[in-house]
Amino acid sequence: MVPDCTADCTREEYVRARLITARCSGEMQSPWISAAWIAAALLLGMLSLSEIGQPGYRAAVAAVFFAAAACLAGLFFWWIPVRLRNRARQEFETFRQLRLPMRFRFREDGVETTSALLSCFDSYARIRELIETPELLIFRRDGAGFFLLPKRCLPPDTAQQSLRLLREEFARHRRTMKTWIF
Amino acid sequence: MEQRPVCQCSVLLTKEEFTAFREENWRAEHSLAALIGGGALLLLGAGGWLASGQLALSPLLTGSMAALGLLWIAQDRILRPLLVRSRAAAAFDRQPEWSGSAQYVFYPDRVQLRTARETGEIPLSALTAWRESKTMLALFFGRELTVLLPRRLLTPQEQNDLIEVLRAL
Repeated sequence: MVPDCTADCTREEYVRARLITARCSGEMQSPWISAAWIAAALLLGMLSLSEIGQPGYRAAVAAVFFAAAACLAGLFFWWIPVRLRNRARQEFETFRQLRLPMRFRFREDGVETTSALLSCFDSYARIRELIETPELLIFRRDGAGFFLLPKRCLPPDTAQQSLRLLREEFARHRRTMKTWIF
Repeated sequence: MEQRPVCQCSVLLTKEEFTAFREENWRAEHSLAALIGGGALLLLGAGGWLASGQLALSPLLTGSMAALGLLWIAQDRILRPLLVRSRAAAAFDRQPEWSGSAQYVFYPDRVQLRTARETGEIPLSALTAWRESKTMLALFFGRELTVLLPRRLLTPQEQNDLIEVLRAL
């Protein structure tokens, strides 16, 4: 059994976890749809370049589509992540107030997390996946909810053993993410 | 001296209430950008097609613009609300904190709660937003907790008292 531990995560860790979960199951889940919209705008730009007879007007129409493609790329790959990051910084304040420091107790059937104000139980069946980054363990619940355990909070003497046990427990629902794109 | 509760209730949501709330919430937070963008594209496409003689725009280009605009509006106004509802229905089935019963006791400065997932007492100062609709009162504590109170479970007096407390925060 994984030993109990207490997590006191920082704002940066929370924001990183929030972005990763948004990428896996939330606001930024569909990069292919975003890419399809951008491709459609680019395609229309190409079409207008190749098919219109009046040179001056053709360039203007094409420019509109290329500008739209650039705007969409900026929206999907810059503005939405920036907005999400800012929102996550605000959400951290509530998280800190209600959940930190968070005591983890790994039971046979699930994880019990307790703070000064709330105690909560999630069965392993309801934890969708364990996302592991070099610094964090993110337990993604059904929906976009998550709780996170920074690896630095694992008891030093049993950290490796705890990681091994958690990887075994979530062997079928585990993903590793090394970097964060966008 | 112990504080008197503003209201207390035991909540058991129906799937219809929950999915309707999720859709309503999505609509409240959803911007009109897609509708405006799609409408503009549709108008440009239709205008370009009608004036194609003067502008020398090909039917392929104007048709593509109009189709893209229509697709964008349809995705935003028809497909996404349907997706929101179906995801909400799936979440309701999977997550016992929505489908299970919950007890809430509201005091002027805090709320005691016992749900299928969580137990505790949290200060109302942690409330980040609240919303009232015809059928529901919703309290949001960041992303950590959402309290849904169907109005049918509260007397008009309790609803007024609770709203007064929330407005005073």
